[in-house]
Amino acid sequence: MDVKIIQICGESSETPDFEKIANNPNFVFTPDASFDVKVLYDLNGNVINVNSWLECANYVNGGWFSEIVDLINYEQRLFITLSIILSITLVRQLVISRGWWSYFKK
Amino acid sequence: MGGGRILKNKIIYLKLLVLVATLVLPWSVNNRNTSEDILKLNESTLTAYESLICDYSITEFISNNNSSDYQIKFDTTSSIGCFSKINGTSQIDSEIVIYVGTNINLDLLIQSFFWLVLLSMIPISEKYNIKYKNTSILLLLLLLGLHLTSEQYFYNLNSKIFSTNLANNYLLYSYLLGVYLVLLTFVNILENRFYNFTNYLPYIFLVVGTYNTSNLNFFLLCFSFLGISQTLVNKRYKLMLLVVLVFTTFWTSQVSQSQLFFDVDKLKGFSSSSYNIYSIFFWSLMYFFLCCGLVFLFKNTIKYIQVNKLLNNFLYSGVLLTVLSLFSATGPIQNLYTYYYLGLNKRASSTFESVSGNAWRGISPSAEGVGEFYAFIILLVVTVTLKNKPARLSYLQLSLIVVNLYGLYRSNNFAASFSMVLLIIAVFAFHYFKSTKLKYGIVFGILISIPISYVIFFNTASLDELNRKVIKEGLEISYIENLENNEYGLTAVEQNRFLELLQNQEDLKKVSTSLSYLIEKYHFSERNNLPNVTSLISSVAYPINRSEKWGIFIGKYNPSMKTFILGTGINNLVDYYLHHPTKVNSGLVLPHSGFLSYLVYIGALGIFILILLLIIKIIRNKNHPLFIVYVLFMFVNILKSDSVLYINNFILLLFVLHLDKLNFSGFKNTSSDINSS
Repeated sequence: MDVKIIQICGESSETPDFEKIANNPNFVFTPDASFDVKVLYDLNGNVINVNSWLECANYVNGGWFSEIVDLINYEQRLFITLSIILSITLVRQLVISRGWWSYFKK
Repeated sequence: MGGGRILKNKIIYLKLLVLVATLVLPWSVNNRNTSEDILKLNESTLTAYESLICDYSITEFISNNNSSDYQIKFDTTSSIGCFSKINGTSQIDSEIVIYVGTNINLDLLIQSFFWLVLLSMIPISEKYNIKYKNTSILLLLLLLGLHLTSEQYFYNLNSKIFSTNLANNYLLYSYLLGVYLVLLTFVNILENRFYNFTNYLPYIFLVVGTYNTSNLNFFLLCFSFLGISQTLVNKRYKLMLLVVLVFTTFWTSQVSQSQLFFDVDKLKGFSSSSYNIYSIFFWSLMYFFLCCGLVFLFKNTIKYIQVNKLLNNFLYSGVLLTVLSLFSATGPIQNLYTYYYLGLNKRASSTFESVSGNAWRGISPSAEGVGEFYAFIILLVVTVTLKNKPARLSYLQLSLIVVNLYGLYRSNNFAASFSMVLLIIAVFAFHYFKSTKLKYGIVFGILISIPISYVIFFNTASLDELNRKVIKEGLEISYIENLENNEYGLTAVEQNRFLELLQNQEDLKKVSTSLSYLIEKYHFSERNNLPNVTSLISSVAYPINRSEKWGIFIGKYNPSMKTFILGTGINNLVDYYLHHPTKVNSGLVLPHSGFLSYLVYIGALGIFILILLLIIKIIRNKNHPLFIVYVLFMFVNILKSDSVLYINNFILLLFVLHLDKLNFSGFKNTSSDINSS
């Protein structure tokens, strides 16, 4: 079985037939009361709650993941990093252009 | 002195190290944390790879799959987290394709960084202070905001989370901040190397600077910034800006139907992907600022150009272009690397085979465009050498010319080669024959020999067929459905039943205005021994193999009288391409003539003004034969190729127009010059 499925959904004795599920548009996942609801994400930022091991395994197999990869957060982090670099550059530019650097050197 | 040289060398080595790190690190730092083995790629593991999206980095993948049995493509819509990772696989026919994640923001930063480091390797010159730096950058960012809004569909195809909604849109904020940083760094580099910059211009054919996931070009951004800063200080530029704004207002007023998306393909970075008032505004202003920036740079640095260095840089650039073109075709990784780090508009040729058995474009988007570049290099080096007595080329230069000739041969640009040879002969005649009669006799002979050789060697059609070839090609792509075929199955077009077409109102509506005008001129023109406009265009197009392309252009070009005179907006082919329905409204089929493209952009009046300015420039420089030779070469080639639609060819054209200020007589060939460049 896929390592990722075990990592995200946990161990199970079930042997899922993903092809059968994919080929049946009317397939309904039966919620499992003993399964802790898990939140999965995809690359588009979509979110889904899965209620059974089979449902979880099926989505993980389709490329969904469990880490909270908030796509906006990556951009936010990049924005903060760039803001810091830009601020330093602008301050440096200001210090050099006003001749403050030579004042400090004295 | 010696210490300074050691330090200089150390800095160059350090920069080379940084370049190598930029080549390797972005594709390696995102590796997995586990030590599991990576699957070997084959047809049986393809489905397994599909469930391992955003898991393996490309470096890990290559380390276990070092064959070249697969193609690598970019998944440009990737998130930052999945950058450089395998984001999918597919099998197209028998070929396996691997998709590697790239991201709009990281592409901007990584590609710009690489090119900035390369620019920083230009030797330092006397400092030039550029005024209004930050104001110019902020103005450029405002224009960029307009660009991102107007070409939203293009950016949605390149980023899953792209949006123009400003609330918490960190993708957009980061993008604009990234551009700010890139431009600030560029200013710093430019100010310290200003007078040396133009010496290294030839390398723009090697490092094209088009971003992977944006419809923008690094050099477009940089020189437009320079143009904005100069417009802020120069009254003449301000006045010209007003004129451009008047034209832009006209172009925007002509938008009757916005077009959301046009696949710019190999024109990426220098052509609009949509047709609306914002895109027209953006591209018109960017084009103007780009021209201002370049003209300012050339005017102020042309006096400082070292001719030896410039010529050698042209030669080296051509050689590197050939070498990297060959290198790109040796495997998928090499192909991917050249595309990304050289900022190519389009992936390089993946094989050594020529397209349709004739032209090979290598890393360039167009075989025609690169052929012109190779021919120009040879023309420039040979004519400048001939001008300086004694004319002498070193063995190294000769061998570099041979490599450039090989590039020209592979590009199969007959027009460029032919014009190059003729112009070299003309320059030779002017410099080596003392008799004025003989000089002019040779030039006159060359001018006469061109049309005669065309008629003798290339004209295989009858005179009647020659006169109507272009309109027949135009009608082939038009939706003409109401005219019946004859008993042998021949269509109305094949039978030249043009009058019937003109009388059939239903079919006439489906024919473009330019085509119906030419058909009318062809059919109703007087028999006065003078060719009508249709026959003239058609008989020029046929021998230079442009009947089909120009016919398609005429079949598609559907202007009103106003847009014919004033155009529809610079760097925007979308309306021309999509507005009038024809059988070729998908896939990029360019007009194959710079004049025709500019007819769409600025209309007949714009073309007339440009030609007038050019004639004035030539008359003013009548005592500068080399300048006239280069201008002639450029314009003869632009007549039949689209090269001016590519930013590097466009920059070269502007540079050539400034060559009248360059003193070629300072050229000397010494091995030390070659080594120093």
